Amino acid sequence: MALSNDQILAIKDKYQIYGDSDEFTALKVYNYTSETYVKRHWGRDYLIGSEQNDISIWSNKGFNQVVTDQTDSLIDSDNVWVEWTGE
Amino acid sequence: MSYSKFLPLNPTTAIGFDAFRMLHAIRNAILGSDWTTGTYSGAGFNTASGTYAGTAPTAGIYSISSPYVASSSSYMTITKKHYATGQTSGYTPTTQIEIKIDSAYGWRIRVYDNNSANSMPAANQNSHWMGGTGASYDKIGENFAKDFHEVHLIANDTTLALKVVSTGTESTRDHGWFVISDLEYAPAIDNWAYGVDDTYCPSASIFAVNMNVMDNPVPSESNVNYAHFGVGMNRFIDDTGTMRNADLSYATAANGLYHWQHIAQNRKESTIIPSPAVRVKSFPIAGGDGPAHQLVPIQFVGQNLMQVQANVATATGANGNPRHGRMMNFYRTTDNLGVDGDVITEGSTRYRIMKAHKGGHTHHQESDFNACYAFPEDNVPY
Repeated sequence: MALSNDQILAIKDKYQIYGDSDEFTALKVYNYTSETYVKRHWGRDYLIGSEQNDISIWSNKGFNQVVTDQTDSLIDSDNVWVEWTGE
Repeated sequence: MSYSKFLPLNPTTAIGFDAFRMLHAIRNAILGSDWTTGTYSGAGFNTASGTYAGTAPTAGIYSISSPYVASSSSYMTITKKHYATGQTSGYTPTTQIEIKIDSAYGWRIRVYDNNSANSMPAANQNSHWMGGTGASYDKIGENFAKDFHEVHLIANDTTLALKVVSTGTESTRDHGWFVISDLEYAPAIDNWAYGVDDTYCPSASIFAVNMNVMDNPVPSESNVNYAHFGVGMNRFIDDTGTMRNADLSYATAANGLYHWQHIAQNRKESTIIPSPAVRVKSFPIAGGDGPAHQLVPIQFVGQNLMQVQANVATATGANGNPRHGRMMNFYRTTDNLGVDGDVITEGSTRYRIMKAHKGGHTHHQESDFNACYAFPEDNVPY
C-alpha cells in the first residue's frame, strides 16, 4: 500500500526534503526493528549498495527510521528494517 | 591549506573521461600532491597553466574515493574529519562531500552525513548546483568538461572551498561557489551532540550561484532565478535534543532570502556574519600598507531567528539549529577586491581570494558588488 499524499508531505517536512512537485513521489519509509543500534545497518552500502549513487536516503536514529526514494526494497541482509505503509 | 587553479585542457571535448581526469586532479590537490606535475595524457586539466600553491592539509584529515565513471557523469566522495577529531576520546566526527560532473546538469556538490545519507541541498541527484531543475537557473557548466572556464580550490584541515566558473562571455558566465568549514570546537556542546547521534559533525556549508553577473563590469541581471544562496549544517541537534536536517532548499529568492540577510522574521534557516547581503569596504591608509583590507572572521548563525514570546510556538521558527560558531580559516574582505585566486598578505601570511557572490542589496539578484572571501594559502594545523 502506498503512502498517502498527506503522509508524503509530512515525511518531506520531517526530513526537509525539497524538490519540484513531481519529484520524490516514490518515497518509502522503513522502521528499525533491531533491539540494539548497529551503525552498519544505517549505511548506504547495507541499505541499497554502494553503486546506487543516484538514490537519495534520509535517516534519523532518533526517529528510528530511514526514507528512500526510487527503491523497490532494501538489501537489508539482517532483516532489521520493516516498511511502514502508512497504517 | 593549499590553493589550486584549474583550467580545462581541451574545452572542445565533451567526454566523461575528461571529467574523470579532472576529479583525479582535484583529489590529488586535496590529498596534498602537486597535481600540476601529473600526467593527464591530453585530457582533464591543463597542468602547464595550472597553479598549486601553499602547504597541504594534515595527512588523514581527508580520504577520497577514486573517481567513479557512470554513463552520464563522473563523481567522487570526499570524507572529511572535523579538525578537532580525537581531541576528546571517542569524538571522531566526519562528513562526506560529493563532487559530481554531469553531462546534462553540470557541476554540483552535495554534503552527506557519515552514513552517506541526508544530503544537503536535499534535492534530486538529477539537478544543478543548488538543486534546481528548471531551465538553466543554477546550472554551472554542462557537457562534462567542455562548458566551463576555470575551477579554484582551497583545501586545508578546517576548510574546503570550490569555485567553478562556466564558459561564456563576461556577461554570460555563471559562477558556483561552495565552502564547508569546521566550526570552532566547543567540547561541551559538540561531545554531547556527537553522543546523541554520531552522524553529527559541526561543519557548516555555504552554497552560492550567480548567473551572468560575477564577471560583468555592469551587472544587469535582476532575474530572481539567477541568484541563489544557502547556508546550513547538514545535521544538527535542535533545542529539544532531536537530530534534524538543515533547511537548505533550492535557495531562490523565496527561500534564500532567509539565508541571505538578517531578517526580522520567525525563521529557522541558517546564515552567516558578516551578512552576505552587506557591503565590506577598505580603509584609505596611505603608503605601502594602504588601502587596508579587513579580514573579518566568518561566524555561522544556526538559526536566523527573530522571535517574541508570543511566537515561540510558531512552526516556522521551530526545530532550528541553536549552534553558533566561528567558521575556521575563512574571512570576508573588501568588496570588488580582486578576482578568484588573487593574493593579499598580512605580514608574511598569504591569503587567496574568492569573489563568491554579489552583495550590497536586500535581494541577492539586485546586488551589484562582488563579495570577496579570503583563505590562508598555507595549512593551519591544530
